[in-house]
Amino acid sequence: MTGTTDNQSWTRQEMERGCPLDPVPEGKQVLMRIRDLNKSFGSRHILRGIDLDIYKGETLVILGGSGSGKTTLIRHLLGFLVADAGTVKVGELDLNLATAEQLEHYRRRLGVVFQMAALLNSLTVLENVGLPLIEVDRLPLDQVRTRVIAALKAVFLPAEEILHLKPASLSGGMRKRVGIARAIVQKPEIILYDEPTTGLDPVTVNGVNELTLEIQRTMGVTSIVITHDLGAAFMIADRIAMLYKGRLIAVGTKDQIRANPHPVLQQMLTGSTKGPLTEGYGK
Amino acid sequence: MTPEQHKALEVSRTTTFAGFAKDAGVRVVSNTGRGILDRAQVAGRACLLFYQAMGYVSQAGRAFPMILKQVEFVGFGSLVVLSLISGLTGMIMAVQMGATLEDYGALNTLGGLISVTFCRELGPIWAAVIILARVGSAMAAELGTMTVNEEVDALRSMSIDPVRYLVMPRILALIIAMPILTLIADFVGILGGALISSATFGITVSSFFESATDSQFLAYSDVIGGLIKSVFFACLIGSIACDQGLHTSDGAEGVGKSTTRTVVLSVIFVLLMDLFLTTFVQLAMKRVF
Repeated sequence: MTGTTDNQSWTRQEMERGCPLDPVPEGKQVLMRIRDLNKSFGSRHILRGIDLDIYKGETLVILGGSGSGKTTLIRHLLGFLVADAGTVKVGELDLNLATAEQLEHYRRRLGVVFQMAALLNSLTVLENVGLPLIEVDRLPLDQVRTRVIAALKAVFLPAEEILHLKPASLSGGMRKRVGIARAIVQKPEIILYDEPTTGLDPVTVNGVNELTLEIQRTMGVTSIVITHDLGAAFMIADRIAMLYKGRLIAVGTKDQIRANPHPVLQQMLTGSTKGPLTEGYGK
Repeated sequence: MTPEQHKALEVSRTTTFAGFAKDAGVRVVSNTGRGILDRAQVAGRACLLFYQAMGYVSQAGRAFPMILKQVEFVGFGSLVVLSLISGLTGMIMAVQMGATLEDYGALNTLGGLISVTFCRELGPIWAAVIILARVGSAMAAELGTMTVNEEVDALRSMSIDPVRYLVMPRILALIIAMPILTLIADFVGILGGALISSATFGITVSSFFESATDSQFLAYSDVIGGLIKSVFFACLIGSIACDQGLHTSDGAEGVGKSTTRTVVLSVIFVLLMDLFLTTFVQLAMKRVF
């Protein structure tokens, strides 16, 4: 398999080679360190030698096609998976070696926005957004209600109107915003977004992207966004990382990514149907 | 053996009748073994889940609204169908057994025989069957849907243990509701027998119940043994249903498979447990009482 950009021929080994780790820029603090992360399921090698630093306060977008390993990577960041090799460190805590108690403590610093919002269908909006406050922080109900209303307003939802509705009564865009409200209600340090704009109409997509930027601006969180939506990526990202066949083939700012000659990256950016991402498909 | 010899042997195995029979036999044994190992793995995993859930019993107070909701679903929702089935079973038993007893002039023992049968076996078994079919499948479907929709992952990401939040209330609700349903099944079954006996054999309801509660037939150990069985069945059904639900994959098809597996596995293990409990617990109760 080969790819070409600007008359330069790339071999398969060159295309699948992981990019080197950049030195930490001045003024940046590393919040999460991933080193040589490898994960397989049976004979399928999903992640192969991932090296990545995630800086405090940045929005890092992880791009990749279907099956590139994005979801597996994010599940490692959640502490749901133990790597076959390598480390995932948040500060001094190695998530692969963490106890259940340490993981519980770590996850309190996280907010997660799932692809389909993952709201509990048997609970109302108030109960869904307030769930971590009730079950984990054990706040009294009046405080829960106040915090939930504030979180819903922060995501531009009519809080009082929807508090007692169940998720089935909400539109897809509203469910996604309620999911974001649940992610921010505990004022987390880190927010993980798993394909936040998938399945939404263009207007709602822009709304979610603007909300992501707004949360970033007002709360100063570190955001890690998994997506294959290029428009969203270039709108919200401080840095972009590209996953291809389980390896990070490019990491950089938006300008650096645009200028990167890697054929897989260029095919992703242009949306061309001809290239290494689609080799072997169609005619 | 060379590759050519291997290939020749493979061809002879599959083209001759003896080879086909041998191949089929190996497959049957292999599949049976795999099936037994698979079920043993499920049983072990469900036991582990039960153990983890019981570790959270001290926090049952926090989950009281959820437990109450589950008791309502398990108990009140199953009452009508359980009563119907128990009552009809009691009637069928009375007709079948009464016809034979009448020939021997022993109709006065009919009440006792039916009450012992229900209290020892039919009450707990029918309650278990109705619960596993109705409630177990619903629990597996609900938790399975939550799993494929990432709701369980959402709970974990919020530092909420799904075993504490989802599994423990469900198992506790079953433990609370099953003995009550068993007692109701016992009573309705005996009542059904009494009513049909009155209509068919002329035995009055009062004399039927007198026979049913006669210590010559029915001992405390029979009733308590049946209730102990129902508690074990509740733990089993709840653990299997929740385990299957939480290990669902492959979308809607996976949810359907989990539901079906829950019912099948629960039936098998309830009967296995009944055999074990009947042998050991009933005998132990007789020594105590």
